[in-house]
Amino acid sequence: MNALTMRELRSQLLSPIGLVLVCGFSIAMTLLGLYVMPRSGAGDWFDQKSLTMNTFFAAFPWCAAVILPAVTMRTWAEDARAGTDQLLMTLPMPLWKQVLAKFAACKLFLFAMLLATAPYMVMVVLESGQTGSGAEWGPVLAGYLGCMLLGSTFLAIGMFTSALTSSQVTAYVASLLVCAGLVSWTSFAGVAAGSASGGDVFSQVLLYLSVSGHFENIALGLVRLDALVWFISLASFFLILNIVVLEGRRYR
Amino acid sequence: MSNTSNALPSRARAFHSWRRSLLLIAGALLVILNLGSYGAGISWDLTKGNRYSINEGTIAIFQRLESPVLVRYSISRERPKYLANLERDVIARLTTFANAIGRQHFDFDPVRDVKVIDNTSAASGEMNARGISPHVVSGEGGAFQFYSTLEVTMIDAARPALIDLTTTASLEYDLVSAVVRMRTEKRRPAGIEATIKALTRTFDISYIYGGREGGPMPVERAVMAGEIANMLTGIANLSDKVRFRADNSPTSRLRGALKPTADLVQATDPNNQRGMAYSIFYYSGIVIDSGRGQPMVLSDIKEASDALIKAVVDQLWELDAKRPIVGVYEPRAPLRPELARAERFVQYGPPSLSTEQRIQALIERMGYDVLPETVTSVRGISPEIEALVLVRPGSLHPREVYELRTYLASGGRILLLHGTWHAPLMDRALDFNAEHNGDPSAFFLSGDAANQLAFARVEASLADTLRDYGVDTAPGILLGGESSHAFRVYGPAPKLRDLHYGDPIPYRAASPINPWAVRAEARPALSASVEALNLRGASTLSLNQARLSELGLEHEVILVTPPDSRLLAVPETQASVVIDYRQSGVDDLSAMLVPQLNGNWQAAAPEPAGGRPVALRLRGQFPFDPSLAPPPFAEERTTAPGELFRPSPGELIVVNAPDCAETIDFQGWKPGETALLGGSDQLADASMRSLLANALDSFIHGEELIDVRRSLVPEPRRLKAWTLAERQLWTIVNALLLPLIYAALVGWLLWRRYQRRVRHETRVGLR
Repeated sequence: MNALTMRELRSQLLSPIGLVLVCGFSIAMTLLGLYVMPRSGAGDWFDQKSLTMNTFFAAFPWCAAVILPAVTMRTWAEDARAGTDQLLMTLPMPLWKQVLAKFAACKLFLFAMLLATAPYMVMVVLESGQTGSGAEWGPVLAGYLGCMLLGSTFLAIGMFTSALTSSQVTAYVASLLVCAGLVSWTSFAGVAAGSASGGDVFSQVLLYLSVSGHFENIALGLVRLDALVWFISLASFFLILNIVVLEGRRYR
Repeated sequence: MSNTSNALPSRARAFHSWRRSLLLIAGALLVILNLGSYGAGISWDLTKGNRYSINEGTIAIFQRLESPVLVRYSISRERPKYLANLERDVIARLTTFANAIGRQHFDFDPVRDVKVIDNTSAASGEMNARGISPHVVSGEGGAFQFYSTLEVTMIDAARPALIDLTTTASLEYDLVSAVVRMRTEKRRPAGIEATIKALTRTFDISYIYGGREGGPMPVERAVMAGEIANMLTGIANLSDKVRFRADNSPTSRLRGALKPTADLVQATDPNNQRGMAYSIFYYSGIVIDSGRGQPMVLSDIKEASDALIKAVVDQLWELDAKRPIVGVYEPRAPLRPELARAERFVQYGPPSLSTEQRIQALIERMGYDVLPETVTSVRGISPEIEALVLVRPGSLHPREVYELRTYLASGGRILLLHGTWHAPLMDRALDFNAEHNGDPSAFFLSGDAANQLAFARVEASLADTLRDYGVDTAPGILLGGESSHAFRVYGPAPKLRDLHYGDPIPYRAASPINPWAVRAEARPALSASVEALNLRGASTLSLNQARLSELGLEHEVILVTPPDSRLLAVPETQASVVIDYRQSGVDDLSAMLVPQLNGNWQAAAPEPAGGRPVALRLRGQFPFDPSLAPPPFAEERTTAPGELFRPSPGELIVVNAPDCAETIDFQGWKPGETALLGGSDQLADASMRSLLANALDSFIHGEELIDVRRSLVPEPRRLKAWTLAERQLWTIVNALLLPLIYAALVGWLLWRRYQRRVRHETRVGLR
């Protein structure tokens, strides 16, 4: 399993597309976090003199929804197109282990992408350390935890859509739509519930389904158990779906 | 073959069955786990001070209440863009409180208790009736008003507490403060008799009546007066806490508290058969004196009615409420005569409430009664007050200083908003001219040569007292008027065309300085919501550790100058002078001014002065020599020395910021430079309230609120602006540094792989 994980990771990291994805992610997160997300009439991140990573993390769901499907689109689709999925079916390794191995590889690649944004964190921590209040590590680490959780969920969704088709483009588009839909769910839920907060059960259920809502709290430094369970359970559910789809190929 | 072909569909069926079961189980687990985790409500707040969680102290305070706290939130739908998420954030916080504290102690329903106001102007009548004022923001299109206020009520409380909200940063503390103060208010019984019997203070009710200047009252009014007197006698008989007297003496001093009532009378002149109308003036009013503060007056009474009795009883209950009293000290001594002429020389902008008046209004809004405190010859500082606030006490009489020292050494608590004494900048009558000593023509304002401006240095008369306590203050610099700028300095500048006047005149621009203080790490509770305090012309304090040790006074620094104390930059094109207030060690102001090549004057800054105290607290037994005779006022008889002195540990908070004001933006931050408030007194007061509330609440309610305050740690902010170079550098570093390193690493690995392959192919003869 480790061998498969490392093979997948190497193929992602040492490929031109991997390089493009990492660079693109880093540039997009920087520009969005510093100049686009803070725009509320009070200027960009520098103008507001904020020393938090709130806007950076606020940009992550959208970046992840666009970029992570590109990471997972070739996970199973390429094998299906090339016909090498038959080899995978006959490997002595159970299918669920293969799914987990590829998932682990994708997560490690996600970790590498987040690592590329480390200078942002360094900037914030260095500047915070010079204020009277000192650096605040909690929200920073919690934010990155949230990024890993949300990213893992999107990766699981991407792998599932990749297993459904032999076309990488189709897999990408389908995954993009699902992930973007989850990110923008909060707005839809608010309209459907009829109020920004909602006190009734229907509104609360709708808002609970929003990954953005859970992610925002974690990014602020408030890690809730239900948010952790939501992300882990959702990712697990899509991994199970992934396994089921792949197993189903045996019987076509 | 047939076995195989039969096996496939059965295996497929088994798979489909397995798949169905698996998905059902997975789906059910998904729902159950999420429901369970949501219901558990477990969370980990990783922020400093648990910013998003409720303090345990808060929960304990609320759960000790005998009746629930009711909360109602009103917010305008149309509000500044900065506050787009305010409604959502406030509701989320209040819901969190309700869930954590329990709805039996904190009753809040986001559907029932949130009122979104569609039309701010139309709602103003109703909101005014509830005592709610709108926030006012000045913008390009003029003033913009919106509501965002929390009403907090308790069944037992006499009145609701109102909390203005533009941020949720201090919502928890504001709520707890309101509840703690409201706890001291008692529930009014039903009925007049029960209310009178429940009074705890003693009241003197005087009914003043009679004709003006000794003349008669109208006949029907005389009858009315008798009825009123009987009614009030009946009230007084209900309780020995109420004393009543009817006073129709023409020389009664209480008549001075009333205005005469007038009845319009139509009469016919018997001589010429023409009608005429005239007024008969008389007195008919009630004065209620609780012995605390100013008496309440009900004037112009023309009817003996149940409504009148209800009004009297309402006033008695209002005055009887046990709200803590805060004294605001009013200096008795006359001002320096030369400064009394200031007003006719200089006018800065529209008139507004003085800082003293604003602070008094704020303290009342915080739920305290304010007692103007003036030292009299015998009484000294009133024993009723819980704490005494001094606002920029300059030119104190030695007797006043004596009484203040007595009060502090007898266990009193003083909040001293110290610093430079405030007056409009004066002419050469004062003792210093920054540019041309004795030559008034160097300075003028708005083309009027008669208005001449200069600096003057004033010694605050509490400087010696503070030095005796181990705290040294620097000599102050006069501030300029009631302007919103921190500090105005006038100096020579090139001639500029003044657009307002159209003629080229020597023009003085003033550049605002916004000196800073930030909270000290040691004890952030008192300044928990103060990340940077916008001081106005203050200078730093210094501690004499030897003296403090000798006295045994505990001391803690509340605010300090920030690490970066460099002079603020002045644009070269601006004809202005900037002086760093932190040059408190410089005696000669003229030495501070260094001419620049562009004709501007810039003050030289000494070495960085970060970390120097600007506000501090002293606690313990303050020194006092009871054998010292009190310096007499001119008119009084001799008073025995130390008559009012009873040694007891006192408490003194010195804030070297006479205006003690912060500007806040709508995200809860307090920038120094950006005038986001645009002259809104209400929001400026809200920011001033933070530090005032901290100090007074800690005096009066003790550590209970301090613990809650301590948990309020705002998000970190950079103090100085980012330069263009810094922005560019960090943007490039953030976006490209590690990706480029990664690309280089990948390139190197691929190159190595290519090299290995070439070597292998060469070795095996493929190349």
